[in-house]
Amino acid sequence: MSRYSQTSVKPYLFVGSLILFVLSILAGLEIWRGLHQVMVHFFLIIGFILILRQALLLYGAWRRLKELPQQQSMVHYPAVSVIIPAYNEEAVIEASLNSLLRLDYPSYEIIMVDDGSSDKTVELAREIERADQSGKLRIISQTNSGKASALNTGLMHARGELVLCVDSDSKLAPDSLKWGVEHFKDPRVAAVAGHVEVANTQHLITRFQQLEYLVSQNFIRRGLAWLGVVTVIPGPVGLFKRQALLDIDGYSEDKNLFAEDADLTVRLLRQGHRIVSEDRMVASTEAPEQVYPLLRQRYRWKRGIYQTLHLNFKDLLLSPDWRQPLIAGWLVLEGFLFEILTFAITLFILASFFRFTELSLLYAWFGLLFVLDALALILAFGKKWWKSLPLLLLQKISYGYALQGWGALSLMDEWRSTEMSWDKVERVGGLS
Amino acid sequence: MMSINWGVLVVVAITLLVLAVLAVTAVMYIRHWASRHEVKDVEPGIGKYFKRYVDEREKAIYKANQNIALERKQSSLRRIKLGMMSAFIAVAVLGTAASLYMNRDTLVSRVTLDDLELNEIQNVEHQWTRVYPEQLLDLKQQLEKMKTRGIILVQNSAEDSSKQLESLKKDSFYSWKRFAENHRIAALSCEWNELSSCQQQFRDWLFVVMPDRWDPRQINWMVKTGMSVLLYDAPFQVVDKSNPQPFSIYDLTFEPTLDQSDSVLALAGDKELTLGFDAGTILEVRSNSPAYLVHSDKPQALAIDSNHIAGAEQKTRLYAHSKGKGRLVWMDFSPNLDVHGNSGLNPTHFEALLASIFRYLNKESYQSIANWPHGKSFAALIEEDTEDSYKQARRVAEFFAERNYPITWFVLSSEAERNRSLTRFLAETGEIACHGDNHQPFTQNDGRTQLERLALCRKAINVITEREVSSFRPPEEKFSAKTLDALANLGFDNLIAERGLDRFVPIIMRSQQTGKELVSLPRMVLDDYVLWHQMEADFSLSKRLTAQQIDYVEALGGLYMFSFHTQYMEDDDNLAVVKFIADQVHHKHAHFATTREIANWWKFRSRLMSGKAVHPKDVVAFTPVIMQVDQYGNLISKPYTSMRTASK
Repeated sequence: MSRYSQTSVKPYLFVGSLILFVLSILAGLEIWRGLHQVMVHFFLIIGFILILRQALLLYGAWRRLKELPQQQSMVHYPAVSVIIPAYNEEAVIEASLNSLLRLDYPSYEIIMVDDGSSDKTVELAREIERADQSGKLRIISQTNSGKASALNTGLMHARGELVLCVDSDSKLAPDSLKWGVEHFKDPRVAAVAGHVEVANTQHLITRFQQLEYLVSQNFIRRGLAWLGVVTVIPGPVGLFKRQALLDIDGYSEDKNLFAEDADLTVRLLRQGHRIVSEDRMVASTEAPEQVYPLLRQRYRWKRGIYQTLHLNFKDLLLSPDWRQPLIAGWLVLEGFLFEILTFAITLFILASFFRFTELSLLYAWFGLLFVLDALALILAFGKKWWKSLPLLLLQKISYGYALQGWGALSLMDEWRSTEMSWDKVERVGGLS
Repeated sequence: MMSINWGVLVVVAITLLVLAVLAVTAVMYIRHWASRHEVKDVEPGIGKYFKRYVDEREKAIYKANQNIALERKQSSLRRIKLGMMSAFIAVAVLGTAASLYMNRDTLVSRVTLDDLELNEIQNVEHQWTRVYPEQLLDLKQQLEKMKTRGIILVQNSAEDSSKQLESLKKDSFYSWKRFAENHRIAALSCEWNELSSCQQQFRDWLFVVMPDRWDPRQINWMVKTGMSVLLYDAPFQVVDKSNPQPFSIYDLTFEPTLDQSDSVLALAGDKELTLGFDAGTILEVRSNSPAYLVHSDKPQALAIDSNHIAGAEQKTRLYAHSKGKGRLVWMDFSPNLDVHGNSGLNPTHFEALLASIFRYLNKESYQSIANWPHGKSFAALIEEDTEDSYKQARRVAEFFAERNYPITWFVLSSEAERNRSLTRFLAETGEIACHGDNHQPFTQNDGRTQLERLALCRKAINVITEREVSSFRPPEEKFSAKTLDALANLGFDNLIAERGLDRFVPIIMRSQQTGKELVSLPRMVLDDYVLWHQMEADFSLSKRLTAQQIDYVEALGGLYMFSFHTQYMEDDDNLAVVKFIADQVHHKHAHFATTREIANWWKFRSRLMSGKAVHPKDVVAFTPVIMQVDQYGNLISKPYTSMRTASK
C-alpha cells in the first residue's frame, strides 16, 4: 500500500502559490502602490532569510572541513558490499563496473542488480565478470521492478558490514571507500554521503550542472554534515551501515515515491542516526547533456523531495529528538518554500523591469544571489574560485532561472497530483 | 548630446535573457505536459483484439489512422509550442520596447560635473547678517511728544471683595505708575466716579483704564468726545470667578474661560498699530492675566503658541478703534519690559510696539509699504518636495496647471534624472527648484562637498529643463552657514528651511563680503509630515486644520506656506487636501506665488523700505501699495506711484 496519498494540504499550496505569483506580478507592475510596498518588504525579509541560511551553511561547511579526518587511520577495514542497480545501462555499465573493480579497498564485493534490462547491459557485465580475476563481481537479475527494488535485492544479497550504493552511470575515485569508512569510527554515524561531480563536462550545460553540484548540492550537504543531518544521500555514492538499512526495511518501493534516496535518508534520520558527508568519496556521474532530459530529471527530483517531505513531515515534527523538527523545517524551506518564494521574486522583478521603478532592487537581488553562490564557490575551489566566477554569472542568469521556473512548475504539478513516471534519462556514454 | 546609460542596458539585456530562459522553460513544460497526454503509438497486432479478430488489411488501416492521429497530436503540440514561444517573444519584445520608450529617461547617463566646472566656482566664505526691512519707532522719541501732557490712570480705589481682583488692580496701577516714572511722564489717578471732571481738566491726556468693572457707556463717551483711551487688561465682569459675564465694547468681546494656556503674541501686518512691522512679528510677551478670551474681527495682534506655529484659534491680544478724533486701544500685557523677563523677547520690537500704540493714541498720521504686492492682504506659497514616488507629482502638476495656480517643485536631481520628461512637465507648470542631489542632509558635508552637491543639482535640473534654478530647500530642512556660502557662490537667490522664526514673512541674509543677498522663507504652519504622519489626520481633520491655519495667517497678513512630499500623494485624500488648500488661498485672494516670486518681491520691498532705487518695471510688475493711517485713525491704502521711499 502506498504511504503517499492525497491530502487536503496540496490544493491549498497550489492555490496559495498561484495567488502569490499573481500578486508578485501585480506588485511588480505597481498596479497598487500599497501592494508593491508590502511585497517589497516581504521580499526583503526573504532576502534576509536567504543570507542567514547561506551564512549558517557556510559556517557549517567550514566547521565540517576542519573536522574531516586528515589521514586514513583504519587498521581493520570492515567488509563492504557495493550495490549497483542497472536498467538498460549498456552505454555506461562497463566504465562504471571497471571503476568499482579498481577501488583501493581490502575487502569488498560488487553486486550488480540487473533490473530486467532489455539491452546489452547484462552481456557486458558478464564479460567483465569473466575477465575479473578477483571474483568480486556478482550479477543478479530480476524482472523490471524499479530502482528501489533493485537496491533492496542487492541489500538482501549483501554480506558486508557496510553497503555502498552507487548509480550505474557513475564512476568512483579509487580511494573513495577508504575515506568513507573512516566516518564509521563514530558509532552514531549510519551513513556517509559522497561528493558528486559531473564526468562529462565538455558541454556548457553539463558544466553548469558541475557548478551547481559544487555550489549548491555538495555545499548544502557539507553544511548540514556539521550537525550530522544531511537530508539527501545522493544516488551516485552513499555508504551505509547494512544493519541500519535493514532496520528500516531498506528502500521504499512505493510507486508514488520518486526520490527513494531522499526518503531513505530522512527515514534514517528519523531513527536518530547521524548522517555525514565525505568530500573525498567522489563519484563522477554522467549528467544530462540536453535541456529536456535535464529538466525531466529535475522534475523527478523536485517532486520526489516534496514527496519525501510529505511522507515524513509529521513524524519529524512530533519527534522528541530536537534535531528532527529542525530537519522538518529545513525540508519545508528547501523542499518547496524557497523555490516558490524565489520564483515569486523573479516574477516581481521581471514585472518591475517593465516599470523601471525598481532597478536598484533588480541589481540588489541579482547581486545578492550571485554573492551568496560566490561564497560557496570560494569554499569549493579555494584560491582559484574567481576563475569560475564568469561561468557562475552566466549560470545564474540562464540555467539558474530555467531550473527555478521548472522547479515551481514541478511543484505545482505535484500539488495538482499530476501523474508522473520514472522518466529515465537516456545514457550517452559520457563516463568512458 | 545625451550619452547612454550602459548600466541600464546591461540590466535590460540580462532581463531579456532571463525572460527568454523562462520562455524556453515554459515551452519545455508544455512538451512535458503534452507527452503525458499524447496517444501512444499502438502497434497493431499487439493485444488480444487484433490478434484474434482483425485481418491484416484492417490492421494496416488502423495503423495508418493511428499514425495520422499521432501526427495530428504532434502537429498540434508544435503549434502550441510555436504559439507559446511567439507569445513570449512578442510580450518580451513589445513590453521591453514599450518600457524602454516610457522609461527612456533612465537610459540617459547621469549628469556629472567635470573638474573644469568645479574649478570655475569660487568658494568664497561669507559672513552673514540678517537684514530686516522693518521700520521701527523709537519709544523715547515717541514718549517725548507726551511730555507736555501725561497719563490719567482710571481706577476704583475702593477695595474689591475678591483678593485676587484687588491684587490685579493694584499690580496694574503700580505697573503703569512705574512705567510713567521710568519715562518721566506725568501720571495722575482718577476715580471712575470723578471721570467727567478729570476729562474736562485733562482733555488732551491719555486715559489708561485699569482693570476694574468697566463701564462701556463711559468708555464710549470718552472716545466719542475725541479722547484717547487705553484699556489695560481685563474688565472684572469677565474675570470675576464668582459671577463671570461676557463684556463687549465696539467689536471687541471678552469672554470668561477656564483655559489657562499660555501664549505669546504675533502682530497682524499692515494694521493701525503695526505699520512698519513685518507681518506676523512675534513678541514673547505674556498676557497680564490669561484667564479670559478676547475676540475681534479686526485684531492688531493674535495669540500664538510658544513654538511659533500658526494657531488654530484667533485669540485677539491687541485692538485699536477710532471714532472721529477719538482713539481706543486695548492691550493685555504690561508696558514694562522687565516684567517679560529674558524669554527671547526682542526689546526693540517691544518698545517699537509701545511706541506705535502711543503714536496712534497721539493721533498722528503715518504710512508704510504694505507687506505684499498688488494690495494683497497675505501671501501663499505651495511647494512639493519631489523625491520618493516621484511619479506622484504628475497628478499634482496636472491640477495646478489646470487651475493655473503657482507651485514650486523642489526636486531631488537624482530622481529628476530618472524622470526627465515628468521633470520637464513640472518645470512648465511651476517653478522648478533644487532639493539636493540626494536626500542626505547637507549639514553632514564640508563646505566643498556642499558646493559640489548643489552645483550638481542645479546643473542636472538645468540640463533636463533648460530653466534657471534659483531656489533651494535643504533636505530635512537642515542647513549650515556653509550651505549659505555655497548657495551664494552658485548664484541661488533663496532657500526655504526656516522654522520657528520670529515673523511670518521672509528674511534677508546679506553677505558682508560681497553684498549678495539670500532670501530665507519661513514655514510657520504644519507640513504634511506632521499632519499625516505624526497626527495621522484624516481628510476632514486635515481640511479643518489647514483651513484654520490659512485663516490665521490671513488674519496676520503673513506668508502661508504649505510644504508636502510626493510620498503622501499616493493617498487621494491627501491630494484632495492639497487641492483644497490651493483653492482656499486662491479664493481668499492671497498673493499666491512661487518661491522665486515671493523672494523677488521681498527683495524689492526691502529696497523700497530702505529708500534704495528700484526699477520702474518692477513697480509696474508688483504694483506695491502704501498703507496709511490718517488723522482720524482710518487705515487707507493707496498705490505706490513714485520712486521715493514711502517711509517718513
